Amino acid sequence: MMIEDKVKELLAAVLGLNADEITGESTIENVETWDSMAVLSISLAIEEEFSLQLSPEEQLQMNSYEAIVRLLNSKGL
Amino acid sequence: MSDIQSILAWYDAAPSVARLHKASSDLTKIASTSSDCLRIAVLRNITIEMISPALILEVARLGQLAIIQYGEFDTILQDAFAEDGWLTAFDPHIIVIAQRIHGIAGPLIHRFNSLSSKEVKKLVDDSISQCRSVLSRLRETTNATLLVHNFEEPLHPAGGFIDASRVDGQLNTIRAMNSALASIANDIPSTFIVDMPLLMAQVGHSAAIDERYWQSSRAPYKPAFLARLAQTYTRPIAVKLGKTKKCIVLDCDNTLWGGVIGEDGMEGIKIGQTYPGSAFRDFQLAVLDLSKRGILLALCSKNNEADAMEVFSSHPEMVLRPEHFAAKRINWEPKASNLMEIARELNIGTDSLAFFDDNPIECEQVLTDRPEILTVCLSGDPSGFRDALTSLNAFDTLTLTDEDKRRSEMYRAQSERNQLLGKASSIHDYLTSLQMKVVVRQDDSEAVQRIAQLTQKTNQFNLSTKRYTDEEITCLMNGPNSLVFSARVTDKFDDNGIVAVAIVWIEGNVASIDTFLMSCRVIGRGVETVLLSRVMKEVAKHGVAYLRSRFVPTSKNEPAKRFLSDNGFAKTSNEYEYELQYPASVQEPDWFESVVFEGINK
Repeated sequence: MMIEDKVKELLAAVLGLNADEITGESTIENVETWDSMAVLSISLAIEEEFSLQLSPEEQLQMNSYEAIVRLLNSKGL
Repeated sequence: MSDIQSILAWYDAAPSVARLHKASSDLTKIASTSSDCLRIAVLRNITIEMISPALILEVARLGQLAIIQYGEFDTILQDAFAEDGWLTAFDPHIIVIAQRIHGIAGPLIHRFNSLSSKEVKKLVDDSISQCRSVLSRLRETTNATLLVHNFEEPLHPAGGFIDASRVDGQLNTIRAMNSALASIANDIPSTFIVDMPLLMAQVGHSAAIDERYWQSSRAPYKPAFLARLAQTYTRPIAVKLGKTKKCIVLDCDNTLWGGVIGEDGMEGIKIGQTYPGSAFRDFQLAVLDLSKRGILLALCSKNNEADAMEVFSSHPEMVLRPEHFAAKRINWEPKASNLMEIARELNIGTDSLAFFDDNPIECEQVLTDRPEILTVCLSGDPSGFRDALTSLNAFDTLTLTDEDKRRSEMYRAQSERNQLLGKASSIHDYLTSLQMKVVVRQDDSEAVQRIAQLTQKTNQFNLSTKRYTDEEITCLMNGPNSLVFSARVTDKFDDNGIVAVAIVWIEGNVASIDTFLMSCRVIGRGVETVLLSRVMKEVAKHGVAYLRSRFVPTSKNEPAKRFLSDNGFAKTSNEYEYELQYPASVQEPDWFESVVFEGINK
């Protein structure tokens, strides 16, 4: 699975949505269930799914689909 | 996916983070349309909401749907003491106090070496008295089971090498706080410690704590540790739902000793002080110790019975002896059918059995034929057998009554009774020869624990299968309109203890039997009829015209199905309800040596 699809699947599961409800534009601003607690859950899920460790700054960047994919790309994924 | 079991099966087929979240949100959707959910409230001084998916899943494994609500961050005291706050509205079954010492007595962690002993004492006393007042308050205002996190021990204590050697060191200060918390849990009913040092030792400190999330979000625990915590929270629930195991069934060869008795003989089998015999001996010691907690033991082995029993009676190194076993099936029949017979003989469900065998094929067959039996395949190095048993968490109880400690003796008396039955010319003669004495007591405050335990554990002869806690039983005994009856039975072999309970409400001219149950260990001896007869007589003194009762069918209470109609109750038009009109009485069986009633006037 492409990394983009994996992120979408993970976000959908954590946010309680269907995978097709997550788009490139999804952010904490426009998804109702995406709150500060979801940011934490997403961060934990990303760490576990991709076997990596996020710094406290990176954890708090889990605010949009785009930011997450960019972060993963920067880590060579 | 629409039901609990299929969601669990889907998750278990390929566990992943995404599936965990998906499964828990599917379960939450079902919960939102169900009226019968387990409500869990979490008061906390840490961020712990991420435990929800794991906790929802663990609760689902017990066949229940969970609804979880969290108090605001660091508002434990306010939540507990609020008048008509969210807790009152939520009315939880379980309240978890998830606390870290950082939020209640931070200086003990951050600058222990700068504190005077006076300051340490004040911090300790203040936090313990806060815990006590929160728990007492919750006990007064709710019926919930209370689970309180005790305090983590520091991984690198402030005093360095000598810290542990000093009674006033950081480690021993925190250990003393935990021991003070244990006394509180001891004093306040239905209050249990979630032992953080123990759980962290089990998973390892580095697998438990995530300093990054603690710094960024005050969320100290890693997902794997949250899963462990979730499992721990559900342990008292499993007990209340009767999901724990009551009997350990053991294979013999290569399970209790090394080798095969039929081939190696008494001299050849491995059991004793040196490896591998020592590992088998340690396993036996652990089995015996569990039996002292009230767990029954049974044997199920493909062997010649005489060969196998010779080991138990004569081998000098054996720990387990013939008298420790409440039942045995040593023959060449399939194990699944032997296990069913053992359950039947002990009057317990097959789902109350835990079966240990070294043979993977036997284990596989039992798993397939009787999936409700907890089957543990002991394979390879016997050094691991002891832990395979003690790590199961399947034998929990919430109280330890005298009855529990004596349970295997009671079952042995039962097998003597069975022998007597074999010799008797009729059932009536047999029952008479038992010389049974019954004492029925009303509102006996000394029996509260045992009565509550019977409501929690009795599944078969139980009209309404309502579960009660100790404090609920106390309330019923003290209430002006409710009567709690309990029957104690003694016979020539044993004191069976309290084995039957009836709870009756009186309102105007109607008495309603809320609960009527009897332990399966005395089924078929007429005790239920004696209890009903005495209840009817006592209730009549309150001037009632009708006695009502309900039989609420479950998958297990078939044995109680005809009890009401057999005793003159008529079905009413209300669901499950039966009614009897006074004057009425029940004929007590004539085989009891004596029946005594000890009541109080209410």
